[in-house]
Amino acid sequence: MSTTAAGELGSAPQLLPPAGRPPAAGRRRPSPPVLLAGAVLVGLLLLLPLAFLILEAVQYGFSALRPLLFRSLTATLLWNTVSLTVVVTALCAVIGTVAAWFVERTELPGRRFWAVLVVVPVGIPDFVTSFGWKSIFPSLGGFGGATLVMTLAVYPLVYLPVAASLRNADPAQEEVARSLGLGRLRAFLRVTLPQIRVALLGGCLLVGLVMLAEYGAFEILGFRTFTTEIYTEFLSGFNAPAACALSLVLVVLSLFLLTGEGLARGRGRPSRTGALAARIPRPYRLGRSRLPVLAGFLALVGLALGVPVGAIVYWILHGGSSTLPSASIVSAAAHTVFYGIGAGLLATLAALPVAILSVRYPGRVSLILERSNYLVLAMPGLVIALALTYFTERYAAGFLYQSSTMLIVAYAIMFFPLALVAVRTSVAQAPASLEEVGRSLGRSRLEVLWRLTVPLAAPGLAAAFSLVFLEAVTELTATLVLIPTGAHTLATQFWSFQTNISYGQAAPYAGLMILIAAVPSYVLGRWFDRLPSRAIVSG
Amino acid sequence: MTWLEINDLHKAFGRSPVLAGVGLTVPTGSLTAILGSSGAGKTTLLRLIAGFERADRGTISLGGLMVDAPDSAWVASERRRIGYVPQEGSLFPHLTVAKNIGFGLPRAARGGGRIDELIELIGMQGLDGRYPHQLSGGQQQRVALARALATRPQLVLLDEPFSSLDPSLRAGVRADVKRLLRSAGATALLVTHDQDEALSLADRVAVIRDGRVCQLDTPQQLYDAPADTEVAGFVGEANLVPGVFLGRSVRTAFGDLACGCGARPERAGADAVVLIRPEQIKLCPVDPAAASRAGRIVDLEYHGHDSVVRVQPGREDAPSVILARVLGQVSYELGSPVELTVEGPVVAWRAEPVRSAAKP
Repeated sequence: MSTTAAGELGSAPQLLPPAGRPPAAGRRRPSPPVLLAGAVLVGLLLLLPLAFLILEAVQYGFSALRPLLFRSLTATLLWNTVSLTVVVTALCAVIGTVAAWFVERTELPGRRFWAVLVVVPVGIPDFVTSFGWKSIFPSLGGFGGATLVMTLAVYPLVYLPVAASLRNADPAQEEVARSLGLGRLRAFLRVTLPQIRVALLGGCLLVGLVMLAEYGAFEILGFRTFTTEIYTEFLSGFNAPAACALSLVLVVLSLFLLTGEGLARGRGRPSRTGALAARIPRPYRLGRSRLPVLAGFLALVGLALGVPVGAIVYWILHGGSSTLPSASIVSAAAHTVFYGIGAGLLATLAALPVAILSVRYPGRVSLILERSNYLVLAMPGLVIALALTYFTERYAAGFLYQSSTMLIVAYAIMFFPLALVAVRTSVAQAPASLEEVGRSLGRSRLEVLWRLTVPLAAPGLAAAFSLVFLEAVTELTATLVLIPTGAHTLATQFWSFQTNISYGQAAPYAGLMILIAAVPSYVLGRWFDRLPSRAIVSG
Repeated sequence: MTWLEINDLHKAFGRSPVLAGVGLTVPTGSLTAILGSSGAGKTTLLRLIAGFERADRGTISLGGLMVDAPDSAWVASERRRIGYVPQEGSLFPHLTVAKNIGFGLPRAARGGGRIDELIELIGMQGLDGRYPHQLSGGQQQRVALARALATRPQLVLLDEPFSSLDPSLRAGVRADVKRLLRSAGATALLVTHDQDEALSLADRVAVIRDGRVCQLDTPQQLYDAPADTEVAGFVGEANLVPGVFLGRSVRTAFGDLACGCGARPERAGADAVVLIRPEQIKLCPVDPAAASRAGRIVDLEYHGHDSVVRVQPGREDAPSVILARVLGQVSYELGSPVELTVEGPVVAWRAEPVRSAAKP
């Protein structure tokens, strides 16, 4: 609201560190006890699965785990998992970046249309994409098949951050580079690429973590990785020591990935200098390359979106689904929505104290909480589910095992990092000075929290909820392990039908699941844009 | 009676000290301005008084109650009965004008007449349902003040409340704020880096420099009798001219000038630095034939109500440029020879002045 005024009065003194970044030293304001207690509770919850896993490993002892770790199977799985992860991540990086550049920076005909279509595949669960391909091309499988399917399913995870970063990057830098005699490609490599580097690395990290955690898609394609093997061990009489040993390797791999990304990113450098006046860059003309580029986009969207959606539609129409069990699909949808809402609420509620603590009262406690969050990122859903199962079976006499509470808690832990990102961003955007004003008006810290911080962070809270809801609705692996006996979600019903190759019966479940995941996110997206508080946050 | 009393206040961020022994008293019902350049510690002082930060050393008391004394007393921000108006207004973006103003009121009073009363006071009837982004900068600032006044605070803190406003709006909003504070009978403390604002608005001005208050006086005293050359330059334009003390007057290139009342007599013959305000300089035309020792106009700045003239005095014992302020139109041209004379008493300090500490 006052950026222009502040810009004119450039001489206005800046005596304090900017709001939101408290001084590095000096007397630190103590964090409110309620907030602290809540955050610590959340931190403990986040660390439970890892603690259980380590406890389990200690119980079996190294001598029992060693033969399970050092065998040729482990080497095969390691090779499969790592090589596929590397290849798919590289492909996604290229496809995502190139697509983002064409959409954001060129006169691609129908830019806004492509911008939506290119992202949509992220809403289709990977195991559904995989099902779509397999049901049309039954011979698909192995390394090649897995590479094709996974690349098409997850490249939007690179596209999204890179496109956002291109939109925020200062286009003048690229223009200056061009004016200094660099060609289009060299300007991209030397100026634009460094601008989007952090976003690209972040996207690649997401792809890598998904690859390590994915189960359903690989099972359908018959490609063996750690997750498929762990699940098999779990099913075949619950070979707990073997599952535990393989889980440990998987967690270590994820941690490697996380630290690797952290090291490669280095210290964040500002992507622009000088005034922040946003300017729409002049898009590049495509000229003669227009048709090939359009064909490329058509092929990408056709393969990533057309094939799975087409397959679902085909099987619904021709799959002999006249015997559609309508009661079962309604009950499965109700369960899915119920678990999704529960997980969304719990994860958002849990993220709030952690976000406020880390933004407003940075210190040792909030640092430990950040680390716990980091460790959760390294825990694939299957490993979290198995760790919780193991613990309840062993120490709590099966208490809560296969209860809806346990499933919702597992979802909330798995998707907590997503919720935290959304909530923390919006808490950080709400100026701390507003809270100070609130307190100077005689209102207590908790009241200010409730009447100012929470409403200001509302868009972030809603985003967190919808993200977690989306992920929970399309979650398969942990659900298969933890689903209450007798209950079904859309994902588990879909899975049991497709395992029996009843494609016609499986397809409606997949279709409904995608609809349930897509509709609320669309509605919420529209709703955010109209919130009055958007006006301030964007200044 | 004194409402706010600050003693020997220290505050450092990391290793860099920001406040280094601030002492300040604010009488009940007065409007005191804290004037200082960027980085002088003004805003930090305000935040300490508001209770957003804790002092490292020293004490703050409000209405006789100790609110911040390290290791003994601490009263949280919400219990200090202060009103705070931050730099950019900082209205709550998700609340309407009426709800912003009523934020600090107890729940039962939020529907009552207090909000209407304040909306009327700031002259914004009919706009109570607007959101902050639908208001102009001046309106936002008035709402921020009404919000601070709603709970009838004992002390209102204003942090550069006009700096984010358009210069053309500033004078009007300034006058409004002064009127509102007077009618509310509030004690107020205003932080600013604008000397014009401090002199025109406040009853008393505290000049803060290097984390210390170096002078606390009425605006007139501050302008006419600054504590040292730096304060002199900070609160207005200043010609600093060398001279020699002659008891209660000084001898300069512009003749023997009387020192203002209250000046301490200095030993005759001591070197002096003499402050001559631009409006004390009078220009007289000289015959070009007799102009060898006259000054010469090197620059003219026309401001409408007055003009600022830069003159090269043409004497070795005077500074190379003297600033003169002349009401209305100037009838001279660039290069015209002029004779300079000084009117009224001047201020003089011993040369190589030692920076004086706070003057009571």
